[in-house]
Amino acid sequence: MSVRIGVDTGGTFTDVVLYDVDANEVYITKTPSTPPDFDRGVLNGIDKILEETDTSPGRVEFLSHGTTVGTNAVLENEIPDLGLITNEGLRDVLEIGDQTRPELYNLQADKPPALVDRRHRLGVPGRIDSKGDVVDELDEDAVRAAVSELAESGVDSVIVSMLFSYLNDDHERRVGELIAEETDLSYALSSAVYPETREYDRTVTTVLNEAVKVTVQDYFRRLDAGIAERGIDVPLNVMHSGGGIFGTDQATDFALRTVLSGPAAGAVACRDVSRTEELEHAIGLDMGGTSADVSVVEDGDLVRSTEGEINDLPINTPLVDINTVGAGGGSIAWIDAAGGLRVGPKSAGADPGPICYGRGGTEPTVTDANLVLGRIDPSAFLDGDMRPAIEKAREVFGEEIAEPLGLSLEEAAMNVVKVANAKMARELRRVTVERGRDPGEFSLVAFGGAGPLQAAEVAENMDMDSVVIPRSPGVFSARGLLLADVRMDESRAYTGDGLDAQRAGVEFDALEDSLTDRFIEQGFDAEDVLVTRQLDVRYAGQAYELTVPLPGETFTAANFEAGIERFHDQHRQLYGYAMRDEPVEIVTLRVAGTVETLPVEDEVSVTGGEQVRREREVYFADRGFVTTPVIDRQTLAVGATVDGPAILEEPGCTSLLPPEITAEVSSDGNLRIDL
Amino acid sequence: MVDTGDLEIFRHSLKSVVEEMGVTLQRTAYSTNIKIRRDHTCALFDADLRHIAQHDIAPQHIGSLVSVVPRNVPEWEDDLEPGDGILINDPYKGAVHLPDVMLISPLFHDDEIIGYAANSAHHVDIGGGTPGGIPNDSTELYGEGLIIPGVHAVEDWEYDEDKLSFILRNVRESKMRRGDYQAQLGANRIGEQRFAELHEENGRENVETYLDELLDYTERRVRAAVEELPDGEYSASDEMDGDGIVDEPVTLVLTLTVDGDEMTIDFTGTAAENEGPLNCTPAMAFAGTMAVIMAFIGEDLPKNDGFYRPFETITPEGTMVNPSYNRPVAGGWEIPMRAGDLVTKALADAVPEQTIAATKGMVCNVAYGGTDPRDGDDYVYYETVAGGYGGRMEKDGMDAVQTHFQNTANSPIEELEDELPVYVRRYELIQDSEGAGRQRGGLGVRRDLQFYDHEASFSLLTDRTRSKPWGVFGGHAARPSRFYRNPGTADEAVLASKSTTKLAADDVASVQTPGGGGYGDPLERAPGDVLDDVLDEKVSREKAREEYGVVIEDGRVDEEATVERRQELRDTAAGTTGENA
Repeated sequence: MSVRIGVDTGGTFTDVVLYDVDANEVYITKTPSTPPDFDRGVLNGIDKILEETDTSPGRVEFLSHGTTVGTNAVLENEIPDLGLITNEGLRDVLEIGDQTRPELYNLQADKPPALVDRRHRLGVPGRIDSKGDVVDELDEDAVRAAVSELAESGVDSVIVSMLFSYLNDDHERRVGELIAEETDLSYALSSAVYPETREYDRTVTTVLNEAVKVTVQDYFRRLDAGIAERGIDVPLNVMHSGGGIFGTDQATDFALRTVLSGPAAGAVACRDVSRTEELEHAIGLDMGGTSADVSVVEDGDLVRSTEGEINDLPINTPLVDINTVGAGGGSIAWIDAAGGLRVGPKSAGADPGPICYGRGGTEPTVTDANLVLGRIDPSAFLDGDMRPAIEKAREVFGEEIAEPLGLSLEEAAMNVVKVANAKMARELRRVTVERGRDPGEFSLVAFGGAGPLQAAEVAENMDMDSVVIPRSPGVFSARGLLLADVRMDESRAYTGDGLDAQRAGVEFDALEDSLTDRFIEQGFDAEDVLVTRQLDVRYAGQAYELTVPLPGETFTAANFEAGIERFHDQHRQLYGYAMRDEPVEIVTLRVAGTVETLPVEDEVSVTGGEQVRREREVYFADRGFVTTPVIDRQTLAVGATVDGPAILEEPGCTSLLPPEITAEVSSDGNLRIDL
Repeated sequence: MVDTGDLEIFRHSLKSVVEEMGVTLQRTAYSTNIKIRRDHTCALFDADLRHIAQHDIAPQHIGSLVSVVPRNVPEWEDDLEPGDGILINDPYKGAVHLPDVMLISPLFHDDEIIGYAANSAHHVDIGGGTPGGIPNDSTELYGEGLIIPGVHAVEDWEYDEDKLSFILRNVRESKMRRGDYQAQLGANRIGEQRFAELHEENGRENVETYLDELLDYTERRVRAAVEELPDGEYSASDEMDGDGIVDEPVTLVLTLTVDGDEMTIDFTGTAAENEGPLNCTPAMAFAGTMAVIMAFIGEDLPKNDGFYRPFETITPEGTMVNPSYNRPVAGGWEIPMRAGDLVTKALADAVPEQTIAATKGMVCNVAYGGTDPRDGDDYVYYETVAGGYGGRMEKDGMDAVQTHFQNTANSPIEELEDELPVYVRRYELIQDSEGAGRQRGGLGVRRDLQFYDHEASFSLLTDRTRSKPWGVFGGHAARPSRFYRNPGTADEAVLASKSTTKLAADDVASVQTPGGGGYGDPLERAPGDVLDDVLDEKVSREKAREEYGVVIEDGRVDEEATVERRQELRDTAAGTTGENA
């Protein structure tokens, strides 16, 4: 009697997936996104799918959401007026950043914005040293003066960030108390939001979190209210950058953790497929119109990181390691001054998009090249008369690409696709090599609107052995929303000296308690929470550390030792050597709690009708046009095989199978291509 | 006729070879300088010693490998076996300064040399009398560290332990250095694997055809880009502080001649070589200049033999950009840094919309050391400090950034204070350090270090205390660099830009970097922007009034008084010659 719903908001469309647990079936729908008030689109989507499947709201037992509201806040610099109180002489740490400029050979480039105006950044005497001891007492009169100055200036909220507050938060807490005493301003302490070392990272993380929080809190409030109004009696879960879900209260307090909400859902879905298809290592390629998000599954688990970047600003929250590459169907092909063919980095994006969309695009794109090659069906984009847009695409391609290169229209288009594939392969290669891995060890899981069209050729380019195109690749990320576990993380700097298992145990206990409290607040039983522990460790004197997991369900001295052993091993794997005799130091302790979400095991549904819809002339390298069957993917049953060349169509996505390659539908309905 | 699509794919494949080399080097290196600050590069050469690909992450390395490999390999190539490697850092054989050590490996496929992999990495120590490789008192190359003239140190992809241990015995923190040398070897080995694969896939003949085509294609692109610049002879010059031995300013002259699709970079007129370490090799002069020229001709041009063809560099012998044998070069990077500023100055009239005013224009090498009172161990540290960027036609200069060929990051204060016995007392923008302008220059940075409870040695090997970063098109000059001991106290002392100072316990050393020059007449700056800078305490009310002619009362622009004040300043300027603060 129950259904589970995932709602994935994108810039243009909101994808909704409903899993009917009893019928063991998945339903999909799409509705336009409604910027800037994205909550309306989310609620519309929920209404629409309930109506289409004739489901009463009372049957919804799980609701999960991937959002771009936090992402947009950071990308578009919708930063509210904030104040900052920090140490005397250091108020510009936030503005100086790491002192680099974003581009090497561009005199017109700009640094990321400082986020807090200098006039609202105030330093006060008071200093704590690297052992957490007080060097200079906090000057409370100076604090009071700073607080009243900020109150008068009309800032929305105040950030307090002082040196070594992750070791000793006395000064920060005292400043907080004085803010509360003197004003009714809200405030955030860096030691509470992100108690880790490196003052710039801690400060900017606290500032960004507060900025996003101010932006998202009304959004989540409206969503909560809308859901309650509909008679849906379960709380809304929000996908966070770490590939887990949490409640809207948590999503508000830790707002910065929602900035990779959408891409993380795709990564979770990719991991799920890699498990069911038994792929040891996989690269997830989620390619849309403007860009591609690349995630990595190693040994069956998502590769995670504790630091990312968005808009040149560091994001220091636990996250799924996702690389965004500026290449997609909308990437523009052009001829440079020396007569060379180039693709990107400029993109026609979704609006106006490629020429063949007929929405006013005038520059030739990768999608237009695919159209010229017969690889996509123009009716996929347009209703009604599409002839003019297709003619336009061919005309522009001829004039701007084929003629200057002295090639036929098709040869020119083929070259554009080859170049786009070679660029993508180079990016994927870099991602694996940086992890000390050979790209040949990975399988490619391709999804999103444009991924499955290019996947086979990209994988061949990289000497990969297999490609998987999952079920419903166009709305694959929304499926990830149904699969994600509830996950919350806590971390703090280690305050002890050396490798003291007992001290580490005490500090881990404190972290775990606070983590468990968060789960209990959300209505979970403490027993259902699986807690894992990690250490950030380095050789004394090194500047950056590695994160290693501690084995076992509980903290013991033996598990602690095993974690340190893993550090040596991992150091060897990544850097080529380990130094077991050198002193090791712990920088940060991390705990993660997860509560498992039920699996989605929907039957592979097959629709009736003709498998081969029609035949079309499709252009392939070294062969020219080949008569190619266009297959309705939804008619393919488990175990069915398709010989290339073939085009597979399904709602929202087209896949291409090159000649001499065979694909098979796996028992889970995914298309497996062995190369 | 090569298929353009296939050629572009070949270009990407070739680029991924050097990128993989670069990533391998960075991942396996031990020093922060390589791992975090990415002070390294990798390149590939073909069997004819043509430069065919470069991993482009640190602009200062653009000219180094390309000047060393073709010049020296012919001497060795008859004796080279698979798996061999040669170490070299000799500035007088085409290299740069001693800490940049290069490893060159021949690449074999089917028993034939198909090319060479080379990489260069900045080692934090290379021996010599001063830790960190920046002695400011040496009058010969010998004082600056270990000179490696081209040593056959690797056989069968392993270091000859005799030779490596000889090098390591001569440098500080030898264990870390060993890791860095190993990393350099690993990078070349990956280069061989990947480059051999390219040959397997395409066949040797095709590779050669592709390479010919690629280099010609690159040349065509670079020529087309140079062609875009208006023809002409563009000259600029500036004074540098003395060399640390002789306290007299020395002149740096740069003339860029654009003639159709070719460009000459000519340092004729530059001062004679210095006795102290203010000299650079031609490779350094080229790299520093080219890093900025790149911004004028297109940022994503491939770096290979074809790239260099349209350029001629003239560095007269016996000048400080081409010193005679064994002159010291440790502070040499200050020269190409300033040459970068001269590129923007020389091209200002030709391409006003592209150029910028002068930047901080100094590398700012700072090193300090002593005995840590917390544990009695000796310590040494090296860092560089950001400064102002030049004003631009439509944008202000950035505050507090690295400039031109330099883009290395800072150390977090918490890392520094944990590691060293110092307190960073100030790390802030310097009010009024910018050159005023319609678009103002960026602000310089002040970094005050307090060395508590111990005596410390504090070394500077830098510049620009005399020549102010200039403004362009009526923009004003910025504040130059300044260095102090105990600033703002009774025993305040000015430190020279090339000096070593013994600090007493609890002394403060203050590094104050220059701002950037302004672009356009400051009297044309929008009063609202001046007000913002005053409210942000980036510009003082006094300076707003004196240089921008903007009168600010009670946190607001007094419009009427501003119109009056601006007229007054215009009248004064008309009465005198072009005032340039």
